[in-house]
Amino acid sequence: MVLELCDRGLSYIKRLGSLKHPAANTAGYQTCRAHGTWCTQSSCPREVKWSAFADSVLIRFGEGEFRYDQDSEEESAGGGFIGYECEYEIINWYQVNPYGDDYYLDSDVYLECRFTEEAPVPEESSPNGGGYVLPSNGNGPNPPQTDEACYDPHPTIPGMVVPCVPYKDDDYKIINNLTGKAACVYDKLMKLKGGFKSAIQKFDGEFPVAHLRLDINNSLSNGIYGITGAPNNYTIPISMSNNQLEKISDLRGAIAFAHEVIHAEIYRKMLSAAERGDLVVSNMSKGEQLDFINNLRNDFPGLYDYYLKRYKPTWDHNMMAAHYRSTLSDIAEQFDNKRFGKQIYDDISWAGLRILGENVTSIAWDSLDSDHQDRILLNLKNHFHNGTSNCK
Amino acid sequence: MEHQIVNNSLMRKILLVLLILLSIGKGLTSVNAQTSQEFYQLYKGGEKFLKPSVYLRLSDSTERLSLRDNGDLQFNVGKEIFIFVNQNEKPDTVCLEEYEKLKFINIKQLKDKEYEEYKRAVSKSQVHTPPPLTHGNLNIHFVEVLESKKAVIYKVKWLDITP
Repeated sequence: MVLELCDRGLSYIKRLGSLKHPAANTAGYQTCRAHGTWCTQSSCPREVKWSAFADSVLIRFGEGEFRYDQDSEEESAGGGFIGYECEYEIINWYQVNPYGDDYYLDSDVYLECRFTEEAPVPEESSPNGGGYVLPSNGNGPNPPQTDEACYDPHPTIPGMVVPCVPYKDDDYKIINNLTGKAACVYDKLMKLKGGFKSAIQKFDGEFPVAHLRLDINNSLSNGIYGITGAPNNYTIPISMSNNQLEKISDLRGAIAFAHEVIHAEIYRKMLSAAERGDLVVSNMSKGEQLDFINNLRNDFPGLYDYYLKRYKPTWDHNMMAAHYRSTLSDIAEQFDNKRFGKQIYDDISWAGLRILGENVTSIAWDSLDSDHQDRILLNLKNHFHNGTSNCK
Repeated sequence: MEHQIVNNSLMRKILLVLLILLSIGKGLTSVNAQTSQEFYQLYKGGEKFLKPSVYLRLSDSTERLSLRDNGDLQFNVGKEIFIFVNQNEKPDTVCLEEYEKLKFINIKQLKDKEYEEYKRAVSKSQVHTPPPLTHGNLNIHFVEVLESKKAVIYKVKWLDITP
């Protein structure tokens, strides 16, 4: 009997999703095929190399084949399908294209797994502590469920399950292309007690951005130290300007970095609510938009409040000014090894959150009385441009 | 001999007709491609709205950077970044008379205009959709006055970034 485990639905070539394909030893025999049409040899300006990760095992696409061979250097461009036998449990699916996001345009990939059921045997144990649940589609019985709480239905793929694997460090992909002062500040942040990652985790108690790409962009305007780009294919790009960072203290650089990471964290939450790899609202169907709104309301009510309920074009910075300054202050204090009193760090956490545009200031800033504002401005002046700068 | 001349003449006519048809076809394709860039939607499959054209003056406060040797340009205005992709859009040159007819806006007005356009489309379509998180409902142009009493218009892409 053939039971369809998954169907069309995964349409992002870069991150195929977190799916657990039942291991072959679980029950019966299984064949999966990754179908795809992406740019062909003729439409690709140059050869596109594809590779994929399944858990920590690097898989490369070959011409018409899908390999687990880590040492394989096979590369391909084009479309078609790739068949493979699910010999391993695969949890995290990624595809990596080294030539940039442009080559993902018009791509379409989905997975199809066919499970030939033969005397299902429950998993005795797995790294996740349980088995999986296959919702019955009328074609066959559900395999025994060893740990009901451990698996949830995949949000978008009928019949697919998501394992209850706790987030691991490996899940947090940081593509680090930083150099110069930006790299130095970043390294220092990462060496903080508990690490910068755990400082980020503190934002909401769960692991933050799935994919973060850190680059250098030295063509930013004067006074702009970093920017965060809108997500694309589950990747959120942060670009820092060494030209601008060199003009300010290390402490200010650390706050600039943390500021951008908070933007990324906000985007990550929104991606989670949107259940897709980008946030181009006009590319969502009405139903997808409705789900997006409902998920935001249910999962991230604060975000929902700022982005939807009382929207302003400056909603994100207003939210950060009101709710993320203590996080920034803590990072600054830790980064600076508590050289000053907490008030100083609280004050300099206002950097980038006061003036949001031409003649536009944040709501939180406007709510401060002039004495507070004067003190903050003085501390910003004293500790930003005039502060210590050991990173070069 | 006469038969051959008639044949040649016929062949020329056929070729001419084919060429005309081809150029019409190419023109139509070009118009379609252009048209798809001139409209935006609030949601996938929704009503198409014409993107209003807006013009920003290249001023002293605009930082202009050459990105590559291929003519691509980056314009930094305050915290916003705009890219002119030479491959996609050739700069348009107009005389000063045309330039003077253009209505210019500044960066704050551009942001307001983007939001107003979203609200206008929502109101017209009677469909409530989430506010855009990326830029895409305006055709944005930067205009530079040359010494030769002409102006160059660059159609640009507003980058989806936040500082």
